[in-house]
Amino acid sequence: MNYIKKMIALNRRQYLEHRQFYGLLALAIASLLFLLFFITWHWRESFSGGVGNGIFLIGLFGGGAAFSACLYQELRHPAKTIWLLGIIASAGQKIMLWIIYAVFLYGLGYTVIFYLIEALFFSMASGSQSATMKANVFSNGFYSFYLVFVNFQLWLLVGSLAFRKGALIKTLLLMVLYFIIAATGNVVLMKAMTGENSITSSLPFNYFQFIHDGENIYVYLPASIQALINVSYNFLLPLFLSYIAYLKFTEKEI
Amino acid sequence: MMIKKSNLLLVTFAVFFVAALFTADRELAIQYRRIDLKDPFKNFGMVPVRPYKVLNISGGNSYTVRIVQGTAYTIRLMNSRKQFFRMEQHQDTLAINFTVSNQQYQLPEQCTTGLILTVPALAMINTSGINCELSGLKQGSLFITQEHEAILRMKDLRLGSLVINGRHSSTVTFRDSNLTDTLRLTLDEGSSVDLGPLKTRSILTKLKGNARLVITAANLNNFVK
Repeated sequence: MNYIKKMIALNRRQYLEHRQFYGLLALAIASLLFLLFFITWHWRESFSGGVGNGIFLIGLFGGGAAFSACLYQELRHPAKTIWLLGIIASAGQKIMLWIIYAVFLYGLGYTVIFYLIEALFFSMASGSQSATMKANVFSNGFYSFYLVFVNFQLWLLVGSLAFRKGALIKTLLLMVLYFIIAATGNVVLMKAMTGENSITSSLPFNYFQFIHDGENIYVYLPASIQALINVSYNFLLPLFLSYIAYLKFTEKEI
Repeated sequence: MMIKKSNLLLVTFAVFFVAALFTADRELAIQYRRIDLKDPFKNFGMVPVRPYKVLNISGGNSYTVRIVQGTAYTIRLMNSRKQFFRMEQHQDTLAINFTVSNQQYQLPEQCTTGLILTVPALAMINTSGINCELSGLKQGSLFITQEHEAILRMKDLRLGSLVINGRHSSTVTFRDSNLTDTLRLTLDEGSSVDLGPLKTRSILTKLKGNARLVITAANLNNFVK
């Protein structure tokens, strides 16, 4: 009971101290979304289907990174961290607070803002193509990007606790580096393992694609192995990263 | 100098991650060696289905849905499109939602085939928004309803009676050889039918709301006397 009371008090403090910033950020995200909807609508002949989903992802990850950068900025400077360390709450509660804000509240708040702006925009820009340009986030497994977003935000949290200067840039650079190595390196690895030279793309822990007689052929992992990987990536990895963030924060306390 | 517990765990995670990646890639290599490159359906997986008479199919147009005459009711789904496929079956009706995206840069016939249905016969096909190719059916009658810009190409059909209801700018194109005794067309809201080289004894039409019916000279020459 005491734990919940402390969490509520921490949340209240976090909200009261930063509400002006949250309001401005919500306004900035809403404006940016409106601009992106306007651009893609104005040049709609240049965009293929799924435009709404693309805009959704830009805001989710771009806005999420910006939000986290501000949320975690006090963690990077030891002098600024002192007041935070002094709050009578455990390291676990403080880490939980950041996860609630950076992952759940941002994810929820952003989704609400996105759909409000989309509804507002398409109430003005109605036309035959408006139906195909709208986002469809909760179908075809697209919502799995929320799970990717959880890991993305947790890596940013770990990065903020690990790096003293330029934490956001360094963490993002490491992520980009990982994707480059994962995308190209895994193709090289698969070529070596299979002897197939026409492999054109590969997603680690998922599939690879090669060309045979002009046809793209996909090779997937067996369903049971893929399910095990999905559980590990979507549920065990966030728990692990949360624990790493907790350890990093307690190491700061010492 | 003592290494921090968090860093130790991160290093352990990195080692585990690389080992898991090698294991997954090894499994992918095993799957690769199992592929029969001569199999025309190597990119497809089978979806179990019971016999049905009515097919309701909706979705997007970026992948072609092929309905072909066969000895049994089967569904082959492209492996990479599994998450875009939903299916429900009630009594003699099969409802499929193939929610791939819509595209405007390729000709419909140039789109990759994403779903293949073989059917011995069908009484009714209701399509919405999809890019479909129907071929080979030889039966007494067939009732087709098209809506929401659905695209349908028909090939090698031998039908006693064919009824097509189209609306919402849907299109039907007859290709290659098609033969029917009676063709009934009800077109509305910008829908269109191109009869191509269809051979038929009679055509009964009801066109309204900017609907279009294309009858070519070749088509007229092919009217069954």
